Amino acid sequence: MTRGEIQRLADEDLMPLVAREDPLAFEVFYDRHSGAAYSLAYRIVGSRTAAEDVTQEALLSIWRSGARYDRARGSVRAWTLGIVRNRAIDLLRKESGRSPKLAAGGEELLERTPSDELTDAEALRRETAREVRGAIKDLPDDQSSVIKLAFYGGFSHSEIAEMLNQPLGTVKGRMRLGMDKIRATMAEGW
Amino acid sequence: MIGDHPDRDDLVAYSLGALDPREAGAVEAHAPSCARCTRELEALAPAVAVLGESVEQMEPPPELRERVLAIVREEAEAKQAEISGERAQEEARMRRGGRGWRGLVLRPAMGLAALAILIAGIGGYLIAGNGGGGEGGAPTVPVVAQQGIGGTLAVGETSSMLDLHGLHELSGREVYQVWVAHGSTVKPSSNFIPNSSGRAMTAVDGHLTAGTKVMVTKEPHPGQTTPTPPILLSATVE
Repeated sequence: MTRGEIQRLADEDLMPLVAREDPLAFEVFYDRHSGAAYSLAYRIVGSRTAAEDVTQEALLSIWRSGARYDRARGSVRAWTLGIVRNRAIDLLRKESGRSPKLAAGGEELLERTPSDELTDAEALRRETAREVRGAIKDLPDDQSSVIKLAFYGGFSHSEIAEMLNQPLGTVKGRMRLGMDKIRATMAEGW
Repeated sequence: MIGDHPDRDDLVAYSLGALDPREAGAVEAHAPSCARCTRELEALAPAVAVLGESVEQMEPPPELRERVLAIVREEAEAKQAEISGERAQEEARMRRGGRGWRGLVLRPAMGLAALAILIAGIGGYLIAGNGGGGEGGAPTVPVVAQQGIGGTLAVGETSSMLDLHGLHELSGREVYQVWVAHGSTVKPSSNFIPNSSGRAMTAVDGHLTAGTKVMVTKEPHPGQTTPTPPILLSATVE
């Protein structure tokens, strides 16, 4: 199969080729998902060097494990980012003993943003990401904070409750309300 | 179903990776056998995925691409060399031991009588391979293969024989499927599962006329009526 033919494959049809250790298929996979992987890794670990390490480890683990992707469990992008997130959270825990350094309220973690210039290559995807970010920002602060601390910070609900000095039930309730709103917004038709 | 239903707050926390290990373990023990909790977790998954995609997008450094892809190519080449080495060892063993019908073809002097019987049985084969050269002086039809797969196509009067190696392990109901294409028609022929060494032999019934193409694909299950890309191997009968 030629590079052009592989590039025209949908993600779900590309992954079986990656599983068969076709380096050209992996290259196409890399070009499609490394940007999102690196961006999420950076968002979690907060340093370019560490984000590179996380991205490299996560994508090579996909290559070496035979790309055990199951289409029944969501998109290739979501599956890939799940692996990246786990690697990044593992790194944070390893480096800090348990959890990332966090200012009171987690503001540094919550507001960390990159300064890279955007290229045209992923303009459409980035526009979509911007819309999603907007929707999350529309959540009340108390809901978005607990979700971000859990997802990007790798904190457990009990750690978040202690950090924010809130009852555990309150933290869990805010997570549920926030996620329900994100789901409702998605259902409205992004 | 194992254990009580986790409450909905816990399922949300689980989907965000925010449960303590003991609590997460309880959800993982319970959910797979509980339709209600499985449905809830599946419904949460797209919203969790959105969180991963919603960060400010950055361009990874080009050096990262070079580094990762260099490792991938190196590992793929090493694997390919390993497969080729195994194949060479297998062929050397066949030459030494003279076992199997391919061994007979490679050793015409020693296996002449048996080869004559074999040819009589299958109607006289034309050996086609991607190993280069016409083995034993037989005309060669090129076999085009990829992903480390190789083999020969022996074309007979009433049936033909594919002998393949380097095949990958299958999972679930997957099968390798042989297709025969002539003109604008593509028809399924035999399907097969390789042995643990990645080898398989399968018959292709019928007389293959000039211009007929024999192809092999991997299919999710037997009974497919159209091939699923990619074509792993093809040979056109001259």
